[in-house]
Amino acid sequence: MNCSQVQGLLLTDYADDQLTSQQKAKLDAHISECAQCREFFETVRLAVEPLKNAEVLVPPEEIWQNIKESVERPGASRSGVLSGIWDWLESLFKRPVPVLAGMSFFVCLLLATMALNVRHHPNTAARIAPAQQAEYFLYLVEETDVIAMDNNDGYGTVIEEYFL
Amino acid sequence: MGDISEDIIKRAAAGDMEAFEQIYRSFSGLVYNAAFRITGNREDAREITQDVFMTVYQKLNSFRFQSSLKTWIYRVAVNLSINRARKMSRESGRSVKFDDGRNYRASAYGEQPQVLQATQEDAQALLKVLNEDQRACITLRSIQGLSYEEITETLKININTVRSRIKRAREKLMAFQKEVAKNEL
Repeated sequence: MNCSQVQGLLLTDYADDQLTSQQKAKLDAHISECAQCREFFETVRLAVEPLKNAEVLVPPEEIWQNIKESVERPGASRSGVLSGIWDWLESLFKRPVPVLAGMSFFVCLLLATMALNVRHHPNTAARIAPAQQAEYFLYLVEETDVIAMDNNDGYGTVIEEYFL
Repeated sequence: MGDISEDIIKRAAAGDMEAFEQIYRSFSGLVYNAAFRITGNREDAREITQDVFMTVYQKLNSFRFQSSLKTWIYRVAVNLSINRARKMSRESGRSVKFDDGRNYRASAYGEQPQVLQATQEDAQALLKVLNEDQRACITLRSIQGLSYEEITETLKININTVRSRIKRAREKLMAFQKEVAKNEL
């Protein structure tokens, strides 16, 4: 074991007592012979110990009072049918990423199919024979002009009418 | 701190407030301290502790005893704390606001390395140097004394990820202490 490997373990498993007694003895032997690793472990200790001895705080009593009040308030806990629906919705979104991706793809595919069906549905213009299309177009232009004359404030388009 | 009996969990799940209070009294210290160390301030620790136990109360019915209650509660607490710390960090565009974390003194340890009693300021100033994930690992290991195995269960990460986060965190702490010591000279 070289110094770099030893120092990696000194920073982690050795400092945290996660080694077997055999592994620890091996590292102890290395440290006793290697001044560089010994010095390194001193700096590790200075980084580890202040946190090991950090003060333990006591949670303020008001936290429990708030929890108790919230829990005892009528309707605070979820139960019955609503709880069932909520859990079902939650479980729907708590699936693994590939499953969610598959579900999203299926929904997109469904929406795309519906959109295409709407597009291919025969509309008024498509149902008119080519010879009649020019006539129908002229009729639309005339109609638009009439609307435009009737209402000087705008262009009389369907979109404009919709929004105004 | 020992885990709580199955009977108490079932009673609390059925709405017995006395049993639920027993669960709260057993784990609120762990939750509050973990949240305080990860988010860096008492106000967030208070809110997170409240949120954790409200979640526990609402979800106790679905607890399946596959892991210990302590691990489950820890997981909820650490996840909420990491998310809160990340959110604060994103919103402020800098590291989170830490209570009591301004005056780390390297000399306090350099002069008497055998006496390593940390003040509140020292611990907070050191944790402030780390990112949220490193802070969570160091808090669980160094402050709360969980084993590497327990940390993997709590955070649902690989044991080598635990090791690597702890290693990088300590390297950062050592570099920080070195920098502070240099500036004190």
